[in-house]
Amino acid sequence: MSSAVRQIAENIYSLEAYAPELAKSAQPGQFAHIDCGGSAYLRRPLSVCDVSEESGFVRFVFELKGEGTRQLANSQYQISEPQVGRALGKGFPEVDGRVLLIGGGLGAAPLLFAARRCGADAVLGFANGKRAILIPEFSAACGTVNVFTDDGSLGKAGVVDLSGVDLSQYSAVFACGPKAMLRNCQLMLAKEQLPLYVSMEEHMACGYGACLVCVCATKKGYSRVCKDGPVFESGAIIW
Amino acid sequence: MVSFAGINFKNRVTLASGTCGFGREIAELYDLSRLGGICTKGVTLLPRLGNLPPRVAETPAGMLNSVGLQNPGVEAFVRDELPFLRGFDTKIIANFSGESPEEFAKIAAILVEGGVDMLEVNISCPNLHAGGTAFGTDPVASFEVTYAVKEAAKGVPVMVKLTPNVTDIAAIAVACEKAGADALSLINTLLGMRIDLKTGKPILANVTGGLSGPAVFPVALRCVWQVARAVKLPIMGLGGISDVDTAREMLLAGATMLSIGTAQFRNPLIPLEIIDGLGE
Repeated sequence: MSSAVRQIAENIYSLEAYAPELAKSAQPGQFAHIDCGGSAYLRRPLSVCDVSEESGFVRFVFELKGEGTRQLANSQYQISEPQVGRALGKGFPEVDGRVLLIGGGLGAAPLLFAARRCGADAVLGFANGKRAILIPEFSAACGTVNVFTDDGSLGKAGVVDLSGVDLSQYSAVFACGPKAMLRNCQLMLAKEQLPLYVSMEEHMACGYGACLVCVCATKKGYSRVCKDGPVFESGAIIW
Repeated sequence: MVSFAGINFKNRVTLASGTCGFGREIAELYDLSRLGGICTKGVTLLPRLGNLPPRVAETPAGMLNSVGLQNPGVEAFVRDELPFLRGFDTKIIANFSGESPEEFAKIAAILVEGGVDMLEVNISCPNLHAGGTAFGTDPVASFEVTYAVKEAAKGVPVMVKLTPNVTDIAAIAVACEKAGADALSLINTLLGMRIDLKTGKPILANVTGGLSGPAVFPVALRCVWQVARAVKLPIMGLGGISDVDTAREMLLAGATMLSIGTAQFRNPLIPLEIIDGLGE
């Protein structure tokens, strides 16, 4: 069996695919560009959520949205290693010291991989308890985990809030989630001497930097999310 | 070896402009020297930021793009990119566009001075002097641009890239031939759009974009067939070629050279598979 998929939350699936080269080489924040097969023409970029170098499996978490993800969510469908491909993009930097992880929704996925590689605490936000993902995994990998939901059905009610967090213990903050949340992180941390790295998301075509369709506005002009990112130093982004 | 517009290519396969940047990202995957040639990302006289994102929308068997000619400008291309490309044993075909025949000629002169093997004239861009209609939709404007570039090219072969968004592509091809073009490449993308049902708005920030991928192959094949019967110029066929079979069909329609574009996004190694499959 080369892959296995299971539903882990409302409309959200976890895919584990046998891709030993990727498992060995991937860095937190990098993604794979997956050929979903079927009628979806373009590949789908999915951040690496976790790897097992021993078994050679790589884990991805995705939301069922359209043709490509419907194919991936089909438990009868097996994804091969060439369909998964290689590790792409620029991930989170290696940091000396403790890191605060801020994840919103599916944005929690790449941060779990980051939590495996450094000492970290996590603040996670979800729409509601049914859409919450990976909380047991974060609890095992992190010191503390604070959960927020928009409707208060799990953890604290409201959007991600750092007011109770002692930021002085961290060397950096890694964030991934909806753009509004990332912008909010930039605002919350604007006065801190704390580097903030954000993982951006855009629809892609090539996935390796050649076609220029997945750009985001940065102080250097339009930068490629797939090649110059997806992880950017937050100050470089034009929010 | 394939002779095309006076140049000897090691095989028939090139990468299509706009799908391979200036080759650097592809060079991380395989040796560019295996290719017949590379049609580099379209450059303009001055740097261009390109269009606002979103710039891509998926379609059945293809995609729309509205990159909007994001490029560092012709001077930066010659200075920063061409030396890298010259490190490979492959032909460099420089794609470019301008806003007037004079500007096309000026850019062509800089590219020729820089040492490219062939010019690919993108006449699908809007003619600002004629109110923004594309040069390539008008035989007279196509003639004027081709003529101006040919004058500036100092013998470097001039290939004109035709748009399919016209009533009679053969008429444009004939105009380019009369103006002295050495070759034609076709087709550029087909103009299209998609709407997001959740927002009720166009997916592309630019509203419309260029359709590419297997969806356009039958249109490309028809265009190459028609043009091959209207002019004596050699043709580089492109538009939706995605495997050895579609490559063979394109050659049967009348193309001498081939260009592979969007298919690379699904499988970046497909140009090499087509080279091997054609026995070149």
